[in-house]
Amino acid sequence: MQLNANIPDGPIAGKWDDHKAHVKLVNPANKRKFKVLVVGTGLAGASAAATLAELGYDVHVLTFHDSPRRAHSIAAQGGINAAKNYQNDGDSIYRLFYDTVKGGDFRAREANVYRLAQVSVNIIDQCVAQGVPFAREYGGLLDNRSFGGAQVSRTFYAAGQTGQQLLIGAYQALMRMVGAGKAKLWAREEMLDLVLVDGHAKGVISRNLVTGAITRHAADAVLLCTGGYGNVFFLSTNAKNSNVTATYRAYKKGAAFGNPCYTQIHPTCIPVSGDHQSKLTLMSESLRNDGRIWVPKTKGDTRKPSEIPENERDYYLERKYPSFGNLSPRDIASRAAKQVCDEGRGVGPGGLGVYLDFADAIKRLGANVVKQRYGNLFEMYERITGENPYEVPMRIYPAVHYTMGGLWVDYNLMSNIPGLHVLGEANFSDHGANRLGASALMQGLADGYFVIPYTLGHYFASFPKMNITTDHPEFVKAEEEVKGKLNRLLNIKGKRSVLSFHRELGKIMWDYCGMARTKEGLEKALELIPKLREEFWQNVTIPGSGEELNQNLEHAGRVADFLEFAELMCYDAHHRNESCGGHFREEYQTEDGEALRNDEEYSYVAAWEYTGVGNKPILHKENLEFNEVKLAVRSYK
Amino acid sequence: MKLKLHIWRQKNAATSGKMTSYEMDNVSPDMSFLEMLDVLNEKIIERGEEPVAFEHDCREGICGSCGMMINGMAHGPEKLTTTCQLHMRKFNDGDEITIEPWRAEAFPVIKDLVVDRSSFDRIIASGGYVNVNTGGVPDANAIPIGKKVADYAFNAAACIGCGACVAACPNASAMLFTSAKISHLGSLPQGQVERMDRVINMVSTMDNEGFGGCTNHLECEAACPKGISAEYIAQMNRDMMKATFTVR
Amino acid sequence: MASIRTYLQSTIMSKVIMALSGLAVIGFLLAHLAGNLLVFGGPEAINKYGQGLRDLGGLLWVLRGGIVVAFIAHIFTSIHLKQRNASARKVSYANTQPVNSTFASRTMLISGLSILIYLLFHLSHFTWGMVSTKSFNGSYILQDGRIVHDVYAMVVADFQNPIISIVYIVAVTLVMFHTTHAFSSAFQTLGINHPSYNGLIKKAGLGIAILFWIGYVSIPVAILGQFVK
Ligand SMILES: Cc1cc2nc3c(=O)[nH]c(=O)nc-3n(C[C@H](O)[C@H](O)[C@H](O)COP(=O)(O)OP(=O)(O)OC[C@H]3O[C@@H](n4cnc5c(N)ncnc54)[C@H](O)[C@@H]3O)c2cc1C
Ligand code: HEM
Ligand code: FES
Repeated sequence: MQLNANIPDGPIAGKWDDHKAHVKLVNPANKRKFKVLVVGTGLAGASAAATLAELGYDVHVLTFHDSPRRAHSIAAQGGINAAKNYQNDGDSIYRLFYDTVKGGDFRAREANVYRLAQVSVNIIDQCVAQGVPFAREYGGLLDNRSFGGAQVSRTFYAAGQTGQQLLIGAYQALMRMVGAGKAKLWAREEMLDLVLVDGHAKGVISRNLVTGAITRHAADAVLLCTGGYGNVFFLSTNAKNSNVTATYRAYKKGAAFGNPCYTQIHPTCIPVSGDHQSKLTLMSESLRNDGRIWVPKTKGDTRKPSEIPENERDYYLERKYPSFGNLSPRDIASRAAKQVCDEGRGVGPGGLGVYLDFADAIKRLGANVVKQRYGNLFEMYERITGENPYEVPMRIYPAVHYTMGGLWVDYNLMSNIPGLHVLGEANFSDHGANRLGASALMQGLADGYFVIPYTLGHYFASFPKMNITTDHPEFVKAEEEVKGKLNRLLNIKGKRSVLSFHRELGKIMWDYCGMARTKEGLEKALELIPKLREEFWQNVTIPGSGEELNQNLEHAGRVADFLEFAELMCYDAHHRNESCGGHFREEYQTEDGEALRNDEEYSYVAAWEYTGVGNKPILHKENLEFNEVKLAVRSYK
Repeated sequence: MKLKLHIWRQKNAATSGKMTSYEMDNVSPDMSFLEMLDVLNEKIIERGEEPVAFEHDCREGICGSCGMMINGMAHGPEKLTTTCQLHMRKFNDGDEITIEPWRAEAFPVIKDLVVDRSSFDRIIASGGYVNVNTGGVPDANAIPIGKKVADYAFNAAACIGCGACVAACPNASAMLFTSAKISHLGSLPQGQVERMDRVINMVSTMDNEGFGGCTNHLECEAACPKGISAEYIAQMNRDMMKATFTVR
Repeated sequence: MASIRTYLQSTIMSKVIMALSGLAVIGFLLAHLAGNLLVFGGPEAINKYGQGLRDLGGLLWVLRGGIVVAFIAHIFTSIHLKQRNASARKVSYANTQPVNSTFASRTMLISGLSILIYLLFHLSHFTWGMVSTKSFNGSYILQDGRIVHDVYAMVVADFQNPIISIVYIVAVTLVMFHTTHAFSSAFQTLGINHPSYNGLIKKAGLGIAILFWIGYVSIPVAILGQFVK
């Protein structure tokens, strides 16, 4: 397998402009002859599809959602970063670049991150021109806030629904092209396989979720914009239908999977309330600005929080990290919560929760100010838990939130399979081992609006056009495989529901490949996963047929892929003998329990090559070079 | 809690459906409504029958996927709440709950509680955008927009396209949905250029999709989980009156 | 781009036609009420008024024509819309719980059509004289000596019939219902909606509806109660 990152030469600040000036172009009159398949309509997919259609390409867009607007990007709350420096507080492209590389614990590709920071500026312009209603100040200019511990205010937001507003902007741009007949939308259409012809990605096989009809789509290039795989843990803040299928099946066709083990755990989520729990709800991190986090000092203390006196409470973040306190970064706050719960000091059902207490804030600021700042979050909390946070401290617990890993791509966002491009959370991303708040939205839109429109033409102009049709034997074969797999699933007719398998897999992953990992734990997981997979293929039950809307069949296909993919994650976590960002190996920590990186040996992207179900994949390395930033230890003491 | 559920079961668009009853016990008040249905479905699967199909994704009240008539109210009895955010503590032990799909000719039932809302996408495709290509746009701060206008536009843009307005409307009208988009774009400077054409095109698509007209019952406003106001319908009406006599 | 005609047929413009014609009818009903109340001023007052109207000549026909057109537009549009609305949901819910809509808003067509039926009766009664020819053909001598149609006697004589009065009161009640929703609804339809005066519009609608009821009902009640003879 060849991994060439294709990073342009020259000084970092000029790389992208220089590259744009030299990429090959497709003649405007010829663009409509190139068919592009875009899978996914989140920020990455919708923005790419709209822009490519505007340019004149023949764009076909697939999404398993009923409407492009429902992609998981809709759920992002906090905001989107951009180096506009509108606040005159010293932000710059370089600073955003630097913060992102550092935040990612020095496991990202410098050139990509720099470009991301550069185009961040254009994203805001574009969105405003589309009518995205960002928050504004009284004078009519755009408002910003500081987010996720950044030292500058560079986050643009639209109340608590930035993702929704950005996605609606991209969706409208896409629907405009659909209305104009320049893009064709295939909604409720799930991609189930990638088709390669002579080593190039030339199409996909999809299933219509309403009729069950299988369609072969031939194209000149395929763009996967299919989001993240956090749901391998079953419980996560991701939308229920988010899954790994598209990228995993591409991986099985030879695409390298980059850094699968990097997972971000978000510290402020509402804890699990019982066995029925189906997903976890994120609450804005801003709560940590005024809330104080604590647990009882003694194990198994079951008194009501109000009955626990001050001197019997452990404000552990303030104790351990006096300077950052309750505002320590996501990974650190999450791990600390896990630690105290592991010690048996957690609160709430199952002891999996810590208090986030606003009593002091209410005393200091008054209930009204607290209400102004957090009123809607308090309401949401009360709606879900039935508890009033003005009176009882909130309970929070960390939850899986984002996956930094994904298909490996080069500077042009093309995977190692020519013609297969990967955008948004689905690629192994510009975030390294940890993503900063408000950077995923930025990356998705950067990829779709401003990177792929340049780099895709380069692929087309670099290779002869193949003009494949769907009668090609590769399509016939791929379709048969897909149908075979669906039939196999339907014919197991076992005893256990798909959901129960997904839950069990999630528990294995959370216990052994979650917030803190160990060699032994990962080995244990690598033992358990294949067993569970085997049971799945013998004992799962899927009512109904394949020729109708069958949500269990859809879910089964996704869980089947998770059951293979989970192993890949564990292999990756197992091989990376260091702790960095979202990957914490208990064996590799400092005396104070901080992540201990090993730059000597692990400063690379781990790109895995598929070798068959249950077989250990082959590791390929893309070494990361840091010329612009100096590697340093993150410290939040 | 013990519950008795009456759920609309319909195999597909071609066949007709009927209400079917299910008994549930041990329902925890901490469950969300959809989690309660998950548990029901697990039981149905155990019995070897087909589970109830319903749409959902984010389960956070923002994607607009979920939606069903619960006891005759779109998204159930709690105000400003989507079905996925509705929790069982809003019900009492022994309650009977009827669960039906959104009903409108423009939202044909696909299966059980799942309906086809692509008519909304077609309304947007016919004009719910600002006609700008990617690139070549002015700096974001080049167009100052007063906070009040920005907030007004934002409140309209908060629509999640769930279709509760249509479901709750005795006329199955899509006025609240359509007007939210028309007002969102029509109140911003960016949306002025095509304001009149937009309203003509979107209203005509809305009509052609088979939605009903508005009788100002304002059931839509009550059902909307995002609290979108019928003020926006009035704005759309104003724009439409103007456009009728100015657009050629 | 289609023509202005197709725009006028859109749901929104149809509703605008409903609102404008409905408001015209409300205006007519207000004027009509003012005239009718002259019955309390005795035969001279109302008969003089009646003659005054007739003396308008061509203008009266213009006004009559206007109100007829408004009615026809209102009725036809309402039926057109109702058909649309009914076909927008062919399968109804097993269970519906209204929240914001009112009894009046949900029964606009029924109240409207009942009013229409009554209206035909009302016209044939008092305008075309097809119900009771005796009372319709009476005449009255004004103080200035002119001989005119005796509206007063006709009204008093006919409302002494309790059946006619009761039917009339029922019809007026329907008008009241119709108006409670119609008035504020018309403003919303015409795009007049603002938090600062919505309350006022609502109250005005209610006020007019009640005014209609008290005003119109007072006449048969007074006649039946022998206050007006
Ligand atoms: C609760 C929450 C809050 C967040 N808040 C923020 C924030 O404040 N700021 C920030 O920057 N980031 C935030 N993030 C992260 C960010 O929202 C996501 O990383 C980002 O939106 C992903 O966008 P995407 O376009 O890559 O994928 P998605 O939006 O996940 O879209 C995936 C698309 O692919 C389609 N798809 C997937 N598989 C298939 C298939 N097999 N066939 C057909 N279609 C398929 C889906 O239908 C969908 O259209 C948040 C995430 C969560 C969970
Ligand atoms: C006495 C006379 C009448 C008056 C004063 C009147 C007045 C009004 C007004 C002002 C409206 C509001 C329009 C809007 O919502 O914008 C209205 C609505 C309506 N009227 Fe009348 N109307 C009268 C008679 C009738 C008649 C005879 C009918 C019979 C067909 C009728 C049927 C309706 C209907 C169905 C509506 C609701 C329109 C809709 O659903 O969109 N009305 N009326
Ligand atoms: S599932 Fe997304 S809004 Fe309910």
